[in-house]
Amino acid sequence: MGSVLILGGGITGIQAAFNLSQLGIETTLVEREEELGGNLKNLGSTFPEGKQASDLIENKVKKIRSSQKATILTGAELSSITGESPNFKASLKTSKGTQEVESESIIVATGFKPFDPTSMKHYGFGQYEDVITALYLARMIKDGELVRSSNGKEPASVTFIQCIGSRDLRTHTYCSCFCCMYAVHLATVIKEKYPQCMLNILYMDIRTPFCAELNYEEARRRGVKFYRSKPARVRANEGNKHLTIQFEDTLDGELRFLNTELVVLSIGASPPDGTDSLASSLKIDCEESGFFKCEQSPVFTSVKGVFIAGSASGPKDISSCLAEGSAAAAQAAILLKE
Amino acid sequence: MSYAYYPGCVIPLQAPNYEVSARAVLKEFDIPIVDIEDFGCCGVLAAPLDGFTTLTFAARNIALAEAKGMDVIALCNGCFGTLSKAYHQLEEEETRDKVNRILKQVGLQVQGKAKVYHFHQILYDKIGVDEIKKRIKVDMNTIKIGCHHGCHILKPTDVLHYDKAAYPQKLEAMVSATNAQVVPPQGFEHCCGSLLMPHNQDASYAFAVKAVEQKGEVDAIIVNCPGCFRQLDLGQIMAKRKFNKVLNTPVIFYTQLLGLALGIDHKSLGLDTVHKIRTNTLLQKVS
Amino acid sequence: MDLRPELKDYYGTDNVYACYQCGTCTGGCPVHRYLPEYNVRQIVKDIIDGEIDLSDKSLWYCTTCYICYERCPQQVKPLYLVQAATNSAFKKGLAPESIKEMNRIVLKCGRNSEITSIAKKQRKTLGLPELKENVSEDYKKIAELTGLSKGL
Repeated sequence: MGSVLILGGGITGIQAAFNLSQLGIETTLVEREEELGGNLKNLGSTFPEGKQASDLIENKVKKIRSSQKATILTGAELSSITGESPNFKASLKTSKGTQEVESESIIVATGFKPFDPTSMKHYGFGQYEDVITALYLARMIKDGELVRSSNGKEPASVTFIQCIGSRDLRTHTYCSCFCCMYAVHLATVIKEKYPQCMLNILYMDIRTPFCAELNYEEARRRGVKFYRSKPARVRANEGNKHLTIQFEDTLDGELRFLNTELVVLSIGASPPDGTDSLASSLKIDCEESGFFKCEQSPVFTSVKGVFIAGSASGPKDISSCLAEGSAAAAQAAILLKE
Repeated sequence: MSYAYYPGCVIPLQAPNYEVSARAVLKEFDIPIVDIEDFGCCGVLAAPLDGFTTLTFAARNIALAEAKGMDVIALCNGCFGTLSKAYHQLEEEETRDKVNRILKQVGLQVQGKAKVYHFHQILYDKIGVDEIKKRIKVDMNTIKIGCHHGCHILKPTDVLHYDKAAYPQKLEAMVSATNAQVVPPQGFEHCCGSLLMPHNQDASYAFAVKAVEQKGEVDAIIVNCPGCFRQLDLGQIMAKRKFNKVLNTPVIFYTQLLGLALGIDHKSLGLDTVHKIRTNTLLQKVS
Repeated sequence: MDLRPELKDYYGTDNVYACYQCGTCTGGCPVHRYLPEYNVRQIVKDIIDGEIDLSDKSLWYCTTCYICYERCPQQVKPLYLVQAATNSAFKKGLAPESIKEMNRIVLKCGRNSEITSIAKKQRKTLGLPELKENVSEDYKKIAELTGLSKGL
């Protein structure tokens, strides 16, 4: 029938590969990390519905593996890609050497890279051990733990700072879509398991679309405190016993010094490494944000046979990624039929 | 090529210790400077009233340097900040024309060609820390220094491009070149509060006290601006009267520290003049 | 008053509408900590809403430390907006006497203060060159042309 090459083995790539294997279309799913799952594999329960990430991933991967028409290559880095529809030639570097893959169309599902907050010195990341990213927190919680790096003990309080690396001219101007949702979700999960832990979220705007709004309400009902402010700075006090966040509470104009034992930076999404070179190899454009550009409608690019799905064209929540994965698979299948 | 020496209007009268030590350092490193006697106030005092007047006053001084084909060395943070901002604003043709229409009436024109340097930029970028190290005659290794950069040498970073505002390193490197120990401050550097003085004396001195206390246990605090100097120096005297705090850390300029390290005697560096907090404890430690 | 129509005359104020009131400026402002009536975020909000009170004395408290300018995620440059407000207040005769007096001295002798005999002696002892008494008439002339002297 024809074949499709999927670049990126995160939730979007897996969804596309799953749908294509259901249609009996020959598919190669390429992932540069050793494991499939992309950013999602760092999460235990996902937002907003609370489904386990592993459930979202494992079943589909099992079905893909059992399909005779699908090949999964992990630990495989793309070294070059040439040609045009319907003759694309990709050269992959794996641990076993080089592998060539030919395909009639390509789905780019390369996802996003979590923002690195090292440049934001006034929040103390890299300087104070107890200032961590939300990614690190999610992994901790997935492993069933919640401890301060400084003393290995459970924190009496956890404070999230939103919009790190998002909505900021100094880093990325766009809103990263899911940070409010995951912060509200993680805060609720922590409150459920550790009811005595104090939780605070410092936000500029809370963006929890559609039913995620109910999660926000639930978080407030459980006692998570919300302060509308982008804090001025984070400092460690008293021999690292706690951290102090200095901020103006913009809803009542009070200058506050909030003591907390763990600061979680709600990091946004950056374009993954290698986006520019992949764009030029495929002859597709990138937006000003650095993510790939879709033409006319989601999943289409300016190049025939090259589709984009998921966070590769801009950060999205999980259901949108699943939808675009299926949409790209459908469009690739339609193209193959022509 | 000579530089136009621009001390501003405060240093010559209220901080001649900075001027005399700076001139001594300039001589030591053979940096040729020329005094332009028509140099006057940079215009910063007019900024709250009329930004355009500040720009024109600053442009006037830049024009005087340009007329002699020289770049400007500013000693004071405030002057450096004001002249740099003016230089940046003058890059736009419309603004430059508007300023020149006025400067024409006092017989001057500005092109925006004369660059504006802070004295420390000349020391760090043109002379270099290694050259400073070579010339050190008196080892300062027993001296603990707290660095108070001041606001206007570092910020705004998009105009000044001197050093990182959040974690500055250049002054620290220059102090270390004399072998003195740089003691890191406790927290982000606090503004000295000098511009708050006309409005609220107590708050202004509170700023100064905070800025001093933040430096911790040091033998001297280095400042780069006569405003910071007056605040941190006189501020410690006022701290006793206003807040009943006893503070006794000498406040000196980097050129005075460097001068001592180069073997220049303390009298020629103005260390026994304007300082309200006496520098004798520091001088004893040096010898 | 509504300052928005006048903003085009002031440098660096064109990004005012980008402000989303996050409060980082006031959070880090050293003045606000000691004098809470001075609130930069509020000043920017008042400018955006077209309702700033130019007779407010706290407008003048800014020490130009540039922390709000550096930290603002939207490059609103709050410091320049505060200066625009004080510039406008000056035009309406609302500037504090202390600031006006400082500027009168600059216009008179081109420096922030007259040369005192103590200062003269100190300079002589240190071997520093003598200063010109009155720097220049330029300052007076320029101030007349820019309109500064009118307000003084």
